[in-house]
Amino acid sequence: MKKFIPLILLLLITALGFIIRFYRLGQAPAGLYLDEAAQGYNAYSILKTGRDEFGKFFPVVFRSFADFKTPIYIYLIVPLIPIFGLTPFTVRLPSFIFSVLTLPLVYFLIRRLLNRAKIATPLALLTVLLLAISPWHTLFARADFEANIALFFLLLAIYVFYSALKRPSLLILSAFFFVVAFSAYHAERIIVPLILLLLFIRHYRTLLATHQRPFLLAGLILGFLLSLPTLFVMATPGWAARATTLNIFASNPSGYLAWYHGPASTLVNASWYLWVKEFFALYFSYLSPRNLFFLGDSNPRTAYPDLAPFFTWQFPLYLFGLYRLVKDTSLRELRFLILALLLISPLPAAMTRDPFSTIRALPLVIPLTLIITLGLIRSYQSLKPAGQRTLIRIGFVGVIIYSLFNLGSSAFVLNEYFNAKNWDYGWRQVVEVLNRLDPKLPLVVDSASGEIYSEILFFSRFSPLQYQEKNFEVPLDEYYQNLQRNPIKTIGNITVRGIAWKPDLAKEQYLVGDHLAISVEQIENNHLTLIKEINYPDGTPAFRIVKTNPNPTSE
Amino acid sequence: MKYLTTIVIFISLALWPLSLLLTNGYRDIPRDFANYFRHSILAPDQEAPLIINTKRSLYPNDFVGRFFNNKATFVWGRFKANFFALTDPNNYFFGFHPREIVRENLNLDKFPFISIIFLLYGLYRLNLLKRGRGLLLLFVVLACLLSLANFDKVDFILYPVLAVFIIHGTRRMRTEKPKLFVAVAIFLVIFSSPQYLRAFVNLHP
Repeated sequence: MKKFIPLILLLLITALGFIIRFYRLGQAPAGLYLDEAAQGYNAYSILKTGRDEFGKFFPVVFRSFADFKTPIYIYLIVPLIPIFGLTPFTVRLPSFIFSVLTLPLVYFLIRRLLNRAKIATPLALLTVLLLAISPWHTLFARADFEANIALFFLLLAIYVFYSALKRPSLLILSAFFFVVAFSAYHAERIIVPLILLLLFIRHYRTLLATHQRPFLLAGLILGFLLSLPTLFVMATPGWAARATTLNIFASNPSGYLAWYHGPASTLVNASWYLWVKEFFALYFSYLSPRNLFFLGDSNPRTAYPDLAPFFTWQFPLYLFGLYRLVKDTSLRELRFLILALLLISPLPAAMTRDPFSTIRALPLVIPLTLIITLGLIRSYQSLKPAGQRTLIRIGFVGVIIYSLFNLGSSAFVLNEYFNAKNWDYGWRQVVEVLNRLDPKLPLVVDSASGEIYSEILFFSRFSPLQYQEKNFEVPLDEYYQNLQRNPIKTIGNITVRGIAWKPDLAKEQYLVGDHLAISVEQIENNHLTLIKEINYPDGTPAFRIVKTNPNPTSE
Repeated sequence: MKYLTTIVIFISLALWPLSLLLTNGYRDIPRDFANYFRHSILAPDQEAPLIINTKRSLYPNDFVGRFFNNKATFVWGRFKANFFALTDPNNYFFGFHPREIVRENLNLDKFPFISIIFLLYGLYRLNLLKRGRGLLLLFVVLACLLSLANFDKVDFILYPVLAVFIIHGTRRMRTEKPKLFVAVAIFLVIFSSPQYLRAFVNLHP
């Protein structure tokens, strides 16, 4: 019976993680971000026609907004649509499922790496508990983020790799999971090869042993073949364009003094110095307590209000855990893996311009949570009197309960109110109104605020076949190369484009736009009829739907 | 090796005082000290009650709303902002980059960024530093005190403690990992040259 207790506890902790991630899934965050809508509609299009919104047959990566979205997540949505329909819940479900599955996976990974060490069970269980209530991990579980899927497959591949050291045939399966992680998210295209390299260097004797060699070779060949489509896409101009816009080495580095042309300008504005400094500044920002425990991500979609990726009380444990990790060699293989993930995970994010991107550095959540747990356990072990330990246990339960409430307060109360705009709140309501309007009249939806056509396609569940027929962007043989965009989209009687006031006012039609595109003054001055104003949860106007009056009767 | 150590220590430690000198920031330190608590985390903020009340009104239960949003949480938030800034490695080695503090801070590069290696090594070998733990505790206490108000320039008070850690790290590395020490020292000399030059030219756009 005693040996089942850890498994029962694991089940309970996973259930806790499940509840936190499942509660109001699809409703909170309110709204559906345009990337989520685009992924959902492309999955719908694949389901109905076998082609994406541009008519490309089962793409290797999805062109979408010419940002070339990774394919795994979109293909995971496809089988869910017949069961749950095309809804925000469906689009966010894969992220939720793999996030919950990550919890027991982390437990079994720690157990495998620590073997029969005394610390194995408490470390594994507490890490899973802290991960279950982690604001960072929870946030990505509740919305459509490919990074979540990539993290799960990365950890699974590592777990199977370690299993393969005893059962060589599993190397092939491990290679398969590494390829899935590699293809699932951009950051993993740097992380996976580096992790593989480190694992190989550490275990090359075992891997090159005679009985392992055939499986290693088979794994390498399979991995290479399965990576070919992704590698092919990475060589296209589309991919290069995306990489160029994001990376820090593409243009003048931060700190470049354009005004300085003095005698030492070669040294003062030396790009080698500025780039190296910029890279290290960004790299260290991912390990900085200020970002991890206070500021969090600067993007409001990837941060909860008033809540950092980790709770403040975890800060001293982080420092102590780091110290113990460096000193404590008894953790052996787990120590190696924590250090490897800790040092490699920030690399892709540190090469991009954003100051602290929790999405690009998502794998970092695992070593950091482990370090905090290690700090917690080691500091607990340093307490000698039983009374102190009892007090600490009670205190810990209290802190966990407080953290849960804090997470709930931020994720379900403050986030809904303050961040609705960033989650493109209001498009579902807009489409509901559009469905009730006179279908004979044309309708123009202002596109100034971004790629909002995906929202209309998603919420109206517009026929993918009709959409593909009416909209052309590039020839299909230039799908991955040509970056030309078509700024005008036709969705039945709806045209998505910028409003051209003079000609648009001259005919009777409906106009839709945000509060800036269609202001109160424009409504008054142009004699527009306000059909509906949709507000954000904080009461400020989100969208206005108006009807033009080309021949207004004089009053 | 001895001269190289001296050069490394000098390069590592001269930047912060030099930057204060060049920005005339040192002149403000006595005045800022005198007015230190005027810029305290307890100082009234006209917008604070508005923000707190807006947040409170969102909760279905007033008690919960008050629990998570009250004057104490607001003050605690200010304290945390200062404390985490003072314990941020990017503050000391990258002038807070990539998340500079706008308006209230000079965002000076305090040490050449390569010197972070010596600081980390010094902390790693802290057990070999006489009164090392005491110094670490002193750093935390001083950081807590400085977090009670606007800390810019006044935080120079932390310089001696950090300098001891960097010197300790430099010396230990020279003894324990001489090859690594030479490599880091070369990089320090190369990368700190533009950094020192920039301390001079950055001020005159």
